[in-house]
Amino acid sequence: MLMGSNGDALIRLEEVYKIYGPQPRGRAFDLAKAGLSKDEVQRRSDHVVGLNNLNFSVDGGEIFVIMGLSGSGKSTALRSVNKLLVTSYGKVWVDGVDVQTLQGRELQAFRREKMGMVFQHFALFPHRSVADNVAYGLKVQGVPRDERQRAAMEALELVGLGAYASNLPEECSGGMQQRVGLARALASDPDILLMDEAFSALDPLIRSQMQDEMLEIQSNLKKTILFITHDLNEALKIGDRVCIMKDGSIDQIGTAKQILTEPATAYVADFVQDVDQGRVIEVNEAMHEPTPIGREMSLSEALAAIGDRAGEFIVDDNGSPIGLLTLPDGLRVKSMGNDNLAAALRQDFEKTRPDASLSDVYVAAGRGMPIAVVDDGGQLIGTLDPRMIMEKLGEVERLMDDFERQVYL
Amino acid sequence: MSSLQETSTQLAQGAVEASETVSFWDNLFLDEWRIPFGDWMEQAVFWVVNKMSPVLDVVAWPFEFLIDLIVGKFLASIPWFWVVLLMMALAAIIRNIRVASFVGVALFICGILGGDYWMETARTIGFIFVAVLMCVIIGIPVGIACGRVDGVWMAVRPILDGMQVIHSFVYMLPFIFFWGIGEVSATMVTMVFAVPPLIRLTNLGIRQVPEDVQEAARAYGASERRVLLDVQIPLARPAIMTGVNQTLLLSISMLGIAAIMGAGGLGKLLFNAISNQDISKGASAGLAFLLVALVLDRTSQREGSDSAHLFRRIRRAWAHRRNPEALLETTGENAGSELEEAEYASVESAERLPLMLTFAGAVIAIQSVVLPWSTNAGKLSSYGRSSDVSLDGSLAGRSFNGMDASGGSWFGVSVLILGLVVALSAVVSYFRPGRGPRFLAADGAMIASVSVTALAAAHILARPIGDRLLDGAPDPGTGIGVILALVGGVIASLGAVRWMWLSRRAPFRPLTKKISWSRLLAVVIGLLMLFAGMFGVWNSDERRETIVDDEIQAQIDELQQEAEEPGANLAAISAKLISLRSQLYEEVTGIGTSDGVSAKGHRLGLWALISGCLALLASLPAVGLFGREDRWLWRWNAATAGFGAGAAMIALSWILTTLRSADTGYVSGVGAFLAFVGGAVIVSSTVPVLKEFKRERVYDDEILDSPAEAGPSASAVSN
Repeated sequence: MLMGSNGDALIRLEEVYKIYGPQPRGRAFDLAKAGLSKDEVQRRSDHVVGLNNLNFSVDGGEIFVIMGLSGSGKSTALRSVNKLLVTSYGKVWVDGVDVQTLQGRELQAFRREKMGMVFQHFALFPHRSVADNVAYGLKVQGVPRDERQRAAMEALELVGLGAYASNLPEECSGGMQQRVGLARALASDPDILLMDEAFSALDPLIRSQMQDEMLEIQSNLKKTILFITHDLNEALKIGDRVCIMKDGSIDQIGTAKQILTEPATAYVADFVQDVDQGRVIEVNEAMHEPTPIGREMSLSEALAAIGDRAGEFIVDDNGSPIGLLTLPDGLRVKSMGNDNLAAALRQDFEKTRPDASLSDVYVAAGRGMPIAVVDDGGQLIGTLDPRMIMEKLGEVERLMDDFERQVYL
Repeated sequence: MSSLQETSTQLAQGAVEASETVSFWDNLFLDEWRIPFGDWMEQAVFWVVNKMSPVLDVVAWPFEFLIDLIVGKFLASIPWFWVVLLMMALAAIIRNIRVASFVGVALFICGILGGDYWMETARTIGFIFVAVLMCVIIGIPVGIACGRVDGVWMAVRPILDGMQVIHSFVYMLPFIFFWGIGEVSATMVTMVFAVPPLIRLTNLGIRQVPEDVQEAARAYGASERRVLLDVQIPLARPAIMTGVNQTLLLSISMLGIAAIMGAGGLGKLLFNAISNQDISKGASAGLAFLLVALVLDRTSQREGSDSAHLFRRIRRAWAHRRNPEALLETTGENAGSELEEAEYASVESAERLPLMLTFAGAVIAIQSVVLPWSTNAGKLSSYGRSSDVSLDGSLAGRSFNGMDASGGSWFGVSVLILGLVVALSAVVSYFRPGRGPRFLAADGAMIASVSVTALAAAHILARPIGDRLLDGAPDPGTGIGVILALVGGVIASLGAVRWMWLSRRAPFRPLTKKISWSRLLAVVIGLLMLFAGMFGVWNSDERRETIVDDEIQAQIDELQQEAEEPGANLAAISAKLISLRSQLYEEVTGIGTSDGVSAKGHRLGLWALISGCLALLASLPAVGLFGREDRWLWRWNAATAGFGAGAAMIALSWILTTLRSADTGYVSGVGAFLAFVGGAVIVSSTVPVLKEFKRERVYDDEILDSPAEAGPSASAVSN
């Protein structure tokens, strides 16, 4: 795992445990530390393990997503980072400070300066106007009224709600309320954003819209974001790295692609099997080197060059694809007794880029013809055979099936 | 006798014998081994009273201080009018003008019940204030502590349960032992009874604050004090306010027990009235009691909370003393339903003419009030005011305006009020059609102007009671003012009829297309009440005069002269005076009771009945017998309501006019009251239809095409 390897991690959790029950540091803790599972600890000590040896680190400027089902401890993990929750054991380093040791005024000052938090059900103050909600963090910091109103307006403009400053939260729709929540987190310009299922309460269309907006804002502001979700699709979409939790411990940490294509445990595999792996596999992994056919070739020569591949491209002097010869086309023209290559070429072929995901080319691949993979200069760098897409996805599928066999047999 | 002594000695001997060999199974055993628990307690109480009196004083001090400040130094010592104004201002600030005007009227009625009743009313208000204030001072902080700290709630909860399970008669005793009978211990007992729901609701309100909102405050670095002030208290406010209201309702329901404990107030009057079987005192005190309760409750009620009547609310407060949580769910749902400002149909030129006619009629009616309504003496009131207005002809030639006690009296005042309603309807409809209270429109104007007509006509037609006028005194004549009031009323009524014809008002939804027999029945019942009222007592004259003959007068004069001499034996003189006074006798000079139809009354009952008959006639089309088109029903219902209101107003004005007479022996009778209720029943039968009608709304697309349709008139209005 990645823990400790990175010296400049902004947030780092080391061996964090949280035990619920009357004696959180007693027998239950010993059992958990000895490596027993949550169920086992509960059976033997009647204590509930919330977090079980949690280790991860989040780099500055990264979106780190913790994904898990309810009861997996993901919210507990998030709340340990600003000590809304006191852990039973372990260190929670944020910017070189062990948060769990902070008390009283120190803790309040730390929360004010370092963090903003966004909640699943928005958690806006219903009796304050939108602007006052957004300015609350600054108010607590003791910023003068004019200044904090200005900062609040800036944050509201950022999320596109400048016109609603004087409304009450209840007059806004769910999506707008969550934007207010986001603006509130951004207003005091903290380094770290903690987002607790921030978009889970919104309907799917708004949710995806908010995800896009957040990514756009993030591309400008470069905050460190710790994001909690139970939606794997969301996690894969926005997370630079994704951490999958189950029963208070971590199953896997990795990029979206690692999660999808190299699931570490059966649990993760079970999880990701309904997800379209094509989203994380890039075109350049499935394409093969182009073996362009010369323009001067005859149809028979060209067909011979193609072999059993679905088709090949013809490039101009710059290396850009200008025509496509597919195996069926060639055979059909040849059966009519014509051996002219030009007669069998088609120009209505699809192009794509090497870093596109497989899911982007599904529609194009549906036509059954090879797709030209071109670089920024328009030069042909590869040919993507539709059959290769299926094959690539099939490899992952087989991996999943193996895991499934482990789970069910 | 001797045999009795024998048996008692035998018994005593038996007891002595038994004391030696008392069996466990014998009841005497119980006496033998008596635990002196009562004595212990008594000793403990005496010890506390004797040795701990400074502590008791300290505990009692805030109660004494507040009672003295609010009741003694303030409510009971400033003029009554200021108290009324103050309460109105309070209601206007906390609630709105409507509640404030209700408070004003209610307290005014408490006041004119009599000075005694007013003092007790003021004391009652003050007592409730102090009790609720102490509950708030103690209950809210305790509730907040309970809400924030589980340990405190664990400790407080059984105490609250105990306070609510034990009957107040039980815990009354220690308070009386420690602080004696009086307002202080009464306030304390009231507090013990009334504070638990406030603590429970405050606790609940704090606990109900969503966890994530509190977390949000903490996550942004708020200290616990800020979390409390910024989040918990504001979000718990509705629950806390419900708690304060509950406390108030329970305090009101404790007034009786407080009265037993010597707190004074209206409860004491009621208590006395019950023990003396004094019906008149009991009724008046009861009315004042009810009004005070209503005033306090309505003032403290939450905006938009349920408007069930007081008794149901008190019953509910009692029922939910242990679980006030249930009260929160039923309240505060329907607030802010109509946020956006509606666009209503504007007044078109055709509608404006009758509107102005109505307004002119109203102005004439209002103007008439300051003109002479009767000459020589009040037509309706002079008879009642014989003791303070000379009727020997010295007022001959003088005239009285519509509001003078000897002029139109309350008939004039009623005409004035109704005229203002008509004028206001016209003004509001002209400038802000569709806005303001719903009745300030064509139908409201119609009802009020018909009532004005009925009132003025009744006043003109009423027969003066001449019997008591001394010979030679001229008969009261009808002044120009009342005739003008009639003219104004008729003009306004005609204008209002036409106005209703043209007014753009429509029901929210299609009315039922059935003949409403039940409403017709209501009108008939109202009419029967008017009929019965007519034969009932309208005025009861039981006035007496003290007859002093010359002989006694001479003796009195003599005694007074004696008293003025120096060194007079005042005690002896006053004893003589008292014995003289006992020789005086009173003579009943009143004419007894008279009904509403005979000439001995004013025949007002007859005129009210005629107004009611007209209402019945108007109600035939109004219930849908001849055509059931919406606006047709609306017009006839307004007419029905107008005549019904006319009957009711005649009776009400008469009751108020006799109230105004200074003589306690001369009062209005139950017939007038019955007539008032009958008129009100007729009016209420029309309400279901009338309240369906509102100014037509104009929607955006209509605004767009209206200029093309209505041409210059529409644009003129929009200017």
